Amino acid sequence: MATTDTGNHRRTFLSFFAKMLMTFIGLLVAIPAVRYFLAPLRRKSGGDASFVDVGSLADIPVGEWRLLTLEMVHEDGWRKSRVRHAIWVRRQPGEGPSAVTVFSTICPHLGCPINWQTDQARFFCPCHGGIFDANGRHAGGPPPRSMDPLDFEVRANRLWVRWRDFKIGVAEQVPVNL
Amino acid sequence: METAQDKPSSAGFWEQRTGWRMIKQVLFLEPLPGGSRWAAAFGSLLLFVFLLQVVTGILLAMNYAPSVETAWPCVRYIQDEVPLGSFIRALHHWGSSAMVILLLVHLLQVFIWGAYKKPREFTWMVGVLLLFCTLGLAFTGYLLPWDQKAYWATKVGLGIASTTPGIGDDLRSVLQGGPQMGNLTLTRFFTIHTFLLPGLLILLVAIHLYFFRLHGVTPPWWESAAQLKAEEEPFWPKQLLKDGVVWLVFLVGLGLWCYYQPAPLEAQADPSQPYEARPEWYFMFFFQLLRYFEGPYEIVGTFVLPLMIFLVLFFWPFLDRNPHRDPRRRPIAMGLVTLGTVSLIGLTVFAITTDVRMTEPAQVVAQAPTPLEPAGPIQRADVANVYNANCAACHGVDGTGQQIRAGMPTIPDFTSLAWQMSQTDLEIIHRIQDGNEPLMPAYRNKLSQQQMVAQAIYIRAFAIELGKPGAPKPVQPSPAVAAQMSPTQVYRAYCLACHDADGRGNTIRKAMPDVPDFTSSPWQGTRSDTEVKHAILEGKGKFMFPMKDKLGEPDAEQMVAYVRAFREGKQIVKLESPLLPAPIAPVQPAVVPGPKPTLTKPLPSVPSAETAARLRVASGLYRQYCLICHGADGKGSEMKAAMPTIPDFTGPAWQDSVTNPQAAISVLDGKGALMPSFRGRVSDEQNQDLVAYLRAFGPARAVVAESAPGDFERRYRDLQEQWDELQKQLRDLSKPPRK
Repeated sequence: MATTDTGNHRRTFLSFFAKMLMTFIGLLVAIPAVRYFLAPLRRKSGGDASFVDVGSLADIPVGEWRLLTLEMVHEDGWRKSRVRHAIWVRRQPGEGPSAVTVFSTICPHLGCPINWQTDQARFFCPCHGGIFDANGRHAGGPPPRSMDPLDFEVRANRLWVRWRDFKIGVAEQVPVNL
Repeated sequence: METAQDKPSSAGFWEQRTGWRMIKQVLFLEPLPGGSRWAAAFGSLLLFVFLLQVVTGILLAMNYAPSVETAWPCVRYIQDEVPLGSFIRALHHWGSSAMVILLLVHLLQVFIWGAYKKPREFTWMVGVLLLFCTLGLAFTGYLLPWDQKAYWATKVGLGIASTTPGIGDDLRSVLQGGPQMGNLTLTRFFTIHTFLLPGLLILLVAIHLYFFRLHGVTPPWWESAAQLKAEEEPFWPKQLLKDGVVWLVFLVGLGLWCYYQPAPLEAQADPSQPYEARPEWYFMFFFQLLRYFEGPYEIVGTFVLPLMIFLVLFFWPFLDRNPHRDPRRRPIAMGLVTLGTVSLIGLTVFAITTDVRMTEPAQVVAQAPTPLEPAGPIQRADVANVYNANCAACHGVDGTGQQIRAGMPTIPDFTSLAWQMSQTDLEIIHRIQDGNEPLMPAYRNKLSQQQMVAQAIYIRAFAIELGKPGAPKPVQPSPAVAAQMSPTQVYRAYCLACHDADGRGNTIRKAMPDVPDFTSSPWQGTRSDTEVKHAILEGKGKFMFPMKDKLGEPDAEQMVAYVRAFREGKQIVKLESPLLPAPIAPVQPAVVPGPKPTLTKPLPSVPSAETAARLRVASGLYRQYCLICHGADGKGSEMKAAMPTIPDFTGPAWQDSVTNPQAAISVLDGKGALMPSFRGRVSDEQNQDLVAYLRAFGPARAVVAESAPGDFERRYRDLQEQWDELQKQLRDLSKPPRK
């Protein structure tokens, strides 16, 4: 009985040791691999994007929603790429920045592009039926908040807009650092 | 003794659902006759290395795009920017070498052990297929970084494939994806390397392992069956423990090696660059072998011999009829394997040690390609050779570019003074550096900074060669100044400051409410061509200059068309951002042998290159933005009537009353109702230089680089003198090597 016990002990110890060794080797490979894989998490945020000229204010008819595009250059892996984003812009009668409204076209529900429906005078998200009124306020459907306003400046009568992405699916407007 | 019976309760759940006990029995508890052995760890080490290749390969593929434009930048990105990217790539790169070595050693071991003999013939044959699969992986993986070595090694490899009798050319086309190496070669090799061969390899490994388990580990030949039975042990845990120790030693060794020895990445593949192609070291024996087969016998080296080697290896278990496994009783087999091994190692060592290279390839380890810096100041007039080799094909040996002007109307004429005066040195350097795709290629990776500066000087000298000192070309009537400039250049020089790059004129509208918006359809619609032309030639309102002394009728018509093109915002004039070049590294007369020349005398524009370049930038900026109002002489006299408050930069009144920061702020923020803000168009550093430039208008200095048409001749002579001086120095420099 005693001899079998020693044999069993030895076997158990060796098994344990072999398992440890395998785990150690696995970790040795997995840790750098996972670190490489998770590299996007460690990427430093680029800070706020800068304002981009989207055109002359005079070109935007008063009281109408216009879909404008802004082009940005961003670090795209091994190169820099130009990306275009779309924005909804409306100019109300009057002078100065208070007369202008700029919205992101991204639906705060799940990120589809929002359309303006002229005949019904409302914004409509084509994916899950989110509805926003003519002032971008949430009026129906699943979106958790109203449309996202974007920062803008009026410089020499031209509209400069800063593009931002916001966290989707939450009630507060939280900028996503890119 | 059954482990499964030790803990029936815990095993129950999994056992019932997965049949785990059976798997465990097959995978881990199989008895090894003769017990665990270190020698048996070899095969499992190979499997481990393969798994390591799979893991690192998957990681690399995550940051890789196979195309001619992206492959090399991707790999450089992995090397330089991805955390641990360089390490992972090194593991994959050196891991592949390790795998090839281990495979050969494994083969040798199995051979000596006699492990291929009945009943294990198929295990061996599958193993041979695995060897060639691995070599295929090594070959296809080699191309993927698309650097010089990759390109040329693959080119040779494909050349070898094309010697296959009958189907050679087709085989090459299929591998290559087309008639030439390029995008399709990369995508094909990538697919073969990441899907096809690994898939095949996994399949073969599974078969290999199945046969291995079916017949068991080959026991040592010197032990009797009874002895083996007595020493029998299960695979788990002792054999796996030994395997694990071997893996760990290998892994730590490879890791350390990779840490100190990053995988090489040479300059991006460029078929136009001479390169002494060499395969990876494990193909060097083959490379050496190919030197011995000439002419019609080449095919023996490239096809017959490799095929023979493969066939003999593959069918060896059936060729060797000797039933004994003890090496001492297999003299023929042992003799053959010794001969094979010795000749393989011998050829490899011989090939590597006797390999004569004309030049060392430009090894770039994890860096952008640095163009070779030839030694000496301005490379001892290699300038002319560089020009003839790179530029003359289009621009002509005489610099006029006339031979291709018909097909490329925008090609400049270097002998034209108007062109010379429309370009700053910096603009020329930038054009050489960045090119103007698709017509003018960028030379940033082909020429060094110094070579580009030298080329700019050389290009300047064209104007003198034809101008013949002392006998100036008959100066054409004054409109000539702008006549030979392209409409864009004219616009940039004379219109942009007020009308903006997009033709809207928004920047200055506050000061000049009447400035039109060229993009507006109503404006375009209500102005006839004649009216626009008239405005250009005769000026308009308070602010618009008459251009009739600079442009002829036809030029003005071109400008009208140019103005029309702004309609609806369809045209944006590209601003040549006059950025400073990187500071030029001190010139070191480095490796080139020969007399330490006394002509290290620095060229005027090179030594103070930084200052000179900055001044030129400032002068360029002044011409682009300020000249239109402040005038070429800084007095602003032409605008005085319309803008009474415009300062006179030459007078002590302004120079004394305005501090540098004040002047800088005026540039950035504008001043009064008329001076626009240049924030965003001018960097802080450029602004400082611009202020310094304004200071130069003070008593010591008179005229700006831009000439008013009146003093054209005087400017011409000034330039001529400068160029004479430059050319003289150029000649001095060029004396020794010029043919």
